[in-house]
Amino acid sequence: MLCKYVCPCDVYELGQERSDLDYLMPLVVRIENCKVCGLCELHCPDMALTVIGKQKGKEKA
Amino acid sequence: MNPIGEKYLRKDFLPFIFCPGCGDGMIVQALAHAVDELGIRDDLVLTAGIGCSAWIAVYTHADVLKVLHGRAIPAAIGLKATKPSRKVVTVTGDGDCLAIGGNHLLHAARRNIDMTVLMVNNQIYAMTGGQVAPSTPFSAKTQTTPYGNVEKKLDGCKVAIACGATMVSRWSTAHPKQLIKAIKKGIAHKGFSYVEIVSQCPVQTGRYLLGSGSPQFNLQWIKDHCVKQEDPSKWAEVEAQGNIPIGDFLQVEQPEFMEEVAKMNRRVKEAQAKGGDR
Repeated sequence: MLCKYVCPCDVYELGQERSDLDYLMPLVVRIENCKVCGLCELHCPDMALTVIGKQKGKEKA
Repeated sequence: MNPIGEKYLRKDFLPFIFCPGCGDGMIVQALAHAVDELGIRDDLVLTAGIGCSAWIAVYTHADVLKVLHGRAIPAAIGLKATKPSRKVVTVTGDGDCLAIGGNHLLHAARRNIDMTVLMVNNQIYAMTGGQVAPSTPFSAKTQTTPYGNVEKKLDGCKVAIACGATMVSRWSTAHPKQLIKAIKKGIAHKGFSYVEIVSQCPVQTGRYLLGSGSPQFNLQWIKDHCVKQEDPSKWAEVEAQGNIPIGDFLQVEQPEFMEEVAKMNRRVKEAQAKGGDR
């Protein structure tokens, strides 16, 4: 899980839900730590993540 | 899926055939970002040969010509010659570009043809199961070198510089932002640009060469062993420590091949109009 590995803010953990290809997917557990650096999005080999930063608060899609 | 993926991926080919954690998926994203920021999608054509890296071009929703192993560069030259306004990008691997396609790289660089070669270097022939490639380090154990590789490693950037490429860079999948910038620079550059991308292959390189099939381990290995050194005269120090020099090594402006051919044609036509032959 490269997103969990590259995230400098410890936002992700290993989730229990599986993808269509039967891999365990990451779970966003500490969204309040996210600094919207976008490293998780750039490092995802499957382009499965989108990082959206808003002015007030942050939202993860 | 992220917006860049929605815009630039060929959805009927998904999901990616890449192994979990493979760097090729990250390179698809980097190429898509670069094309989006340059706004050249309508002028873009990609060529690719055979190998895991060639699928990077297939997944990109642009005009793509997928050809025989090692022959992506001559196909790209043909596409450029027939329509010089095209932005031609060749996506190739270390076996496709440095082994079977080595001669094409040599002459395309020598002629300074206006095209960009993205050479994905995972230090092995990955798709076929992990055989030794020209980029495999000395003494590495692979499927076909079970007692250790006895050949010297070939450095694609050194070959490109020696053959006359006018833009040469090397980055890795552990440096995605710098990689996107280098791809943009390569496509915008007028002349032959060679961008080498050190990429993780957890299943073959990871297990055979590095001792671990974990994508995180492989990416960390790349981060630890890719050292920024843009002065080629200092590469020997970096390589002596078992590291790989990365950076933007070269960018110069020199006469481009298609422009020189067009100039020659004009000159000959003018001479013929005056009654001469050259």
